[in-house]
Amino acid sequence: MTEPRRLTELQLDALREMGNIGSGHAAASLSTLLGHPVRMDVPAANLSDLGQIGALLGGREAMVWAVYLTVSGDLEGHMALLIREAEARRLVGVLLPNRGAASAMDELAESTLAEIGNILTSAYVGALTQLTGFDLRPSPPLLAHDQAGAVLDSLAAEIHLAGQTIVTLEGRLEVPAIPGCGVLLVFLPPPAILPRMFEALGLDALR
Amino acid sequence: MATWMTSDAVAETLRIVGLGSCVAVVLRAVRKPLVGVGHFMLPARSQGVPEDDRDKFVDSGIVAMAEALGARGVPPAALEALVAGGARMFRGFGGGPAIGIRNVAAARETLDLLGIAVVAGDVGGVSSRNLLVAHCGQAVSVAYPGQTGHPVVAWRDAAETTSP
Repeated sequence: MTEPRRLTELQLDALREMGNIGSGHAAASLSTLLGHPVRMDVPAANLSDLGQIGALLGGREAMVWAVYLTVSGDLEGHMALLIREAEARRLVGVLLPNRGAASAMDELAESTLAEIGNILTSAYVGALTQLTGFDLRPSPPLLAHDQAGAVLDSLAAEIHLAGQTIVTLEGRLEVPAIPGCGVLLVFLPPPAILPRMFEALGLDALR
Repeated sequence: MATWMTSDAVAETLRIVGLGSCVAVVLRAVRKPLVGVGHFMLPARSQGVPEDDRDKFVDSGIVAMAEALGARGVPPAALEALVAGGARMFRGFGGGPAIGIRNVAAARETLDLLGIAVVAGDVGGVSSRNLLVAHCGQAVSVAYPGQTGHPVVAWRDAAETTSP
């Protein structure tokens, strides 16, 4: 295995920039969907085991919604949209106002969240396609609603089975008009393809 | 998260939270207060990245835990096992990934090779589990935090169940 265990500061910057562009497109889609402006945090790039994402979600036992899909084609990777329980309720409350915020998360709410995942991840992957010129094909999204620890472990297992150590590009999208409403977008490209990505970004020197 | 530990403290309660497609294996000594509790992420070490920590894998993790219990005077023949976890966490097109099922199969196979009897199990399903292991493995309970109203299951000897 020649996969990097460490990334240089320049490479991390390049990754963050890529995450910025992907998250920016996803933020624009979310804004259109909700009819409210969406604020985007500067994405973080890490070589990690997903542990710190668990902390961002409120610990292993916090209930979360997760939309997960794989990207194939010229570049392979994994992508997940993670939403904390209370935030998912608020999101669904805005999109389905007649149900009332307090009603139970039923099947309609579930498919709404899956669709949000679909739209945001498609926007992200579309931006990467434009940026790199690669042919990227997202898989149909899978949905989970469970404890953060269990969801993240399962995600990590899938990625390990594909023979990949984990680079995470994570960005949080906030909706200021809806207090306490935000989602976490995570893109997990395998380190082996990073040189090709840097090349596509015109950063040959980073190889 | 993947790790294992052993304990001979009867008053200690060990906890595993957020057990999804991972598998948890409780190895308890039949004749004395000693227990090993492991939480493993991937089925077989041969399928992983070579330099990966062996505790991440069901097969190598169980062997390491059994060796540690052996070093404390309890050979595999004097151990019995409880197996939990292996849920399918993601649902959707094609039913979602089946890593959980493979983890459970790897656990049974490894325990069989070591000659350790599986006396209880709570595996599969689509929800995560939390485990409480008390009295050195003599009292084990399984909860499903993601399912409202699902009762906590107290394990009894020789009762193998599959969760909803």
